[in-house]
Amino acid sequence: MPYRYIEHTADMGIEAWGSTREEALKEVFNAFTTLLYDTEKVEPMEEKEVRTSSKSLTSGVVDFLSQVLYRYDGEGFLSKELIEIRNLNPVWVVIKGEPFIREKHELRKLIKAVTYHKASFKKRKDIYKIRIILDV
Amino acid sequence: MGKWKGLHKRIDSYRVLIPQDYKSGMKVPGMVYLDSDLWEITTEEEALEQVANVATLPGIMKYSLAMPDIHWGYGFPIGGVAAFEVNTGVITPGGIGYDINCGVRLLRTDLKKEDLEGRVEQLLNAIFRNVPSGVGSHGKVKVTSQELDQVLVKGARFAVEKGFGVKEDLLYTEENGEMKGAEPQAVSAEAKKRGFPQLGSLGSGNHFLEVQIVDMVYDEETAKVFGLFKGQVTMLIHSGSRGLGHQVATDYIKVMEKAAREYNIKLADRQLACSPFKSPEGKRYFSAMVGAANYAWTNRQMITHWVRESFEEVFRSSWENLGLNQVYDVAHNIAKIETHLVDEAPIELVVHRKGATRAFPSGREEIPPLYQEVGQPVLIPGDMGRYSYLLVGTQKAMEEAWGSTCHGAGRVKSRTASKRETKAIELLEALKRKGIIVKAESNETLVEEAPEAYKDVTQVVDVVHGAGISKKVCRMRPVGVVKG
Repeated sequence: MPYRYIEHTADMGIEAWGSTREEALKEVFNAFTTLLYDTEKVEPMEEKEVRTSSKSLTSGVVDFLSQVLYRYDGEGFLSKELIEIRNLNPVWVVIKGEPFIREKHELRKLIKAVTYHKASFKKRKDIYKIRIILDV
Repeated sequence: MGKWKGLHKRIDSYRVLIPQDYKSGMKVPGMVYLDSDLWEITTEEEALEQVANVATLPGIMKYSLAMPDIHWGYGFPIGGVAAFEVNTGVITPGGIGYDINCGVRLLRTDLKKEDLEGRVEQLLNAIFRNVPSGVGSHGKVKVTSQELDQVLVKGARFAVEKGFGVKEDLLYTEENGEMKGAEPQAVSAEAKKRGFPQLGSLGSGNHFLEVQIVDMVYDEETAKVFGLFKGQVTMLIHSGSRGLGHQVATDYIKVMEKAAREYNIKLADRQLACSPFKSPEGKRYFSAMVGAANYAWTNRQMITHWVRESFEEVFRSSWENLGLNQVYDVAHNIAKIETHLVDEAPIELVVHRKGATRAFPSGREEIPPLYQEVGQPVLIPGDMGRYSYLLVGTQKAMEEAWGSTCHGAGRVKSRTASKRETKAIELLEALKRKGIIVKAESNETLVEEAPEAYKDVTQVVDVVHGAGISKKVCRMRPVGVVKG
């Protein structure tokens, strides 16, 4: 189970795991985009770079997902795959996806924001785990 | 997470005190408006700890307050109210929330219950068609970037100048729908980009449009001043600043984290990131927040126009003839600069209301002239299966709660939990049996918003009424709901 959704009072969160930091980041990205829309219906047509200037690994994940949310809600770009991680701290990645088409895509949930509340990026035994709470 | 067992003392049937020595760093005590039933529900989560956290912020005056609809939020609890002295205090996005100027507007009509007979469905269909709603909903108004800047500065007046509504609507809107101090440059390009397509749309989640009947009048005289009577058809609009406001909050929480470090402010919770109100960061956030608040008022003004058009289609008469006038419009996620009496001296404060409503009594100049004698109307939406209330502000609210009261029912259940227990079809059937027709853009949102996910709004309202920080005027029962 590479990720799961968790309950958090009125809101919800994501827990994602990976055997490397990069894998955990990819999983949290997958969990997040799957929540926003049906990623199966999104084709990897266009490439976009996403860069953050965050000071820590955890803030980096929050800021990265905030940017994915902005690309979707502000630019109408649906991210599908995280194809390259150029740097992890601060996050600098390449994603693939395509612009939103009403007839083709299926939107799911409205997420207002990705929060810093109880956000974490930890290693336990040999597994990296990310936890993020979302304002829905 | 167990029950909250922090130090507290019940003052009376409606008030509980969290003493200043409960937690180190508290600069004032906490005071929460709760009866014993609601106290039990509230201690299930960490919301009361958040009341104590807010009390640690620099410049906080008198109390860290919370209303009976209190539940857990990011930084402040939802239902939290706190005032900070303008020169020594702070401003925090965590005290306002991600949905800046989420708020409620009430329209009245000259129609009576009988006039709706057999027409509710038709009316809902018209509203559903005319007001863009749901996840990813885009407004049907296209604005240029200069126009969006005007939206941020002029607020609802922008919409009225474009033909959405009339000047009287502005008179009956908090801040006249045009709060002063917005700086379009303080709102990021990203926030504006999220704002462009969504202007004039309802959104999703807990936002809704509701056709109602006034089914109980508690205070005839005041109701008359507001133009309300038993059996009357009313319309409630609940929406906010959409993606633009969410992005402003996201942007400035980052700015404030850095600022808090620079100004050596010790934070009890990362989501309480703040800066002195008078600092460059504080001023900039405030001017961006005002812009987002004005965006929300523009949004509700446009929705009002389409609601009126929908009534015109169904009742084949002009909205003026139908008497579809505005009672009032309130913000329930906002910070304001207000003058309040502290030790009998007037003092300027930054009042944060997060899931709380301004409830000014008669005599305050912020209230429309026609309502001067009775006080400000306060609109309290409930969940879709129960009631909504109209209250009026009181002097007591001024004396102990910075002129504030509750804002709604307050969630008790997580969205996922509510989803597990509720099926969309069964919910729709159950509501129908109660005489409530619901049209929802998505079944998922519908079940997340099931009535059981909320505290009973009547219990919440009874507490603020009992405590005297606002008074019941009338109750509205939903007959038709459009959910985003």
